[in-house]
Amino acid sequence: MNRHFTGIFAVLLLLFGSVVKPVSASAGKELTVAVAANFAVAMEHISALFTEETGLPVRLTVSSTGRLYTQIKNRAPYDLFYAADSSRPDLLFTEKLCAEPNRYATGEIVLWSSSEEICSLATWQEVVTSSRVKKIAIANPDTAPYGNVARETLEKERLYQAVESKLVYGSNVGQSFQYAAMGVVDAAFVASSSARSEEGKAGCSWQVQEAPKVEQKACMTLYGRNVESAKRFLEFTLSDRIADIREKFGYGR
Amino acid sequence: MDFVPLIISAKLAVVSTILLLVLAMPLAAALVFGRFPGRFLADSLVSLPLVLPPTVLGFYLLMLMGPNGAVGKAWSSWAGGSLVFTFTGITLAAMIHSLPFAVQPLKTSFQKIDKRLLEMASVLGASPAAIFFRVIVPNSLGGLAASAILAFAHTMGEFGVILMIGGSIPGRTKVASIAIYEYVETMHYREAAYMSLILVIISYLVLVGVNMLNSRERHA
Repeated sequence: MNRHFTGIFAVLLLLFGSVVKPVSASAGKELTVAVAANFAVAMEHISALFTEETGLPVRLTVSSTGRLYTQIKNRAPYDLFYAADSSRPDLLFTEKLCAEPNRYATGEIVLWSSSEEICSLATWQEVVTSSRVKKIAIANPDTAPYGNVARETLEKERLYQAVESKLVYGSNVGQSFQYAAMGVVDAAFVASSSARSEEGKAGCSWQVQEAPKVEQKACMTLYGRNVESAKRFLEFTLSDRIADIREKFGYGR
Repeated sequence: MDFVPLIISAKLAVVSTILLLVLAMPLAAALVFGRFPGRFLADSLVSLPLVLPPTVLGFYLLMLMGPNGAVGKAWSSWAGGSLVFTFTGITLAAMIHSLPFAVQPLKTSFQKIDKRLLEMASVLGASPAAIFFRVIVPNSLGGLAASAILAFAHTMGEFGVILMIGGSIPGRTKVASIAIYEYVETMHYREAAYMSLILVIISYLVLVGVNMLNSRERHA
């Protein structure tokens, strides 16, 4: 029996040793950044540029704003949080888990379709009310900021009643785009960044000028370990150094 | 708390379980008593949903059942309308995902049936259909109940596949597990906790039911 325990103990020690060691060794250096899914691709470019300039490695965790918020409330080991909205960072600020949030980008929604037939229509209002359009994807308005903006705009334009029965809800704006790209819906409200991606260029999009911009804020967690490099990274992402990347992916400042 | 998602989950579980049993009984019988080439290949195929990640299953089903997919096209020309993002669509998906849970207990109880009973029935001139309904089914009621309960429970908790193909439409495809996920995302932790608790209780009761059936079979 005793020998068994020693054996198990040795195995556990080996396992933990191999897991814990590299993490604790890098904890003082590597930045961990939580980023909302819609900004993930832009952030990959930004963090690569940052690492190139400063030599500081950055690790990205991509998820939905809501889930990242819940994780940070439970002290997930992130140094920075880049949300898809302003409300979640503001909440973390009042809950004293985050320093004061800053706006790092503004996004906008567009209506996107991969169907040639539908692409011949002129405006987004025509598309959503067209009898040829049977299903329209939208990010879940209750969980996703881009979905919320889409619903608000439909309501403002008095189209919501007419369109509601066509709506299909993606868990985030990425899934909304995926449904349209696979052709399982006729059109989708997506982030303009998705419409500008390689996949997005295969379809067509309509500007939704009536929609308000989506304000995206970032904040530094107050329990993070890499305060100095986190500050540097935050300043970098707020600066004009990344204006090109922001522009390229369809975001404003 | 909104009870509609729980009702949809229950409705989905009842409908898909009934349809699944109708499908699973002949399937399990074919896998146990059938003598055809490639039987073990078919057997593995039936068990496949057990090991596949729901995202894989969901992704393929979305492609197959979408307007451009083979199943989706056939459906819309036969029934009109679309299959994805409908209750019919998630029922079909839930059936496929729960198929192994319905087939396995049936297979086990079919295998336990005394072969001599079947031979006698055959010698006495019963047709294969009569043997199935009058010998096999009455002798495997325990397995049938276990199948129904497991398929029901698995569908009550169905999440990944429906997340992919459901479209979370309130009152139609937004099931309890999706509602819990959205409650958590929108910081409604209290509602999430209550609905989760209800699912835990249902699942536990279901497992208690299975275990009671099993112990009764063992004693019988």
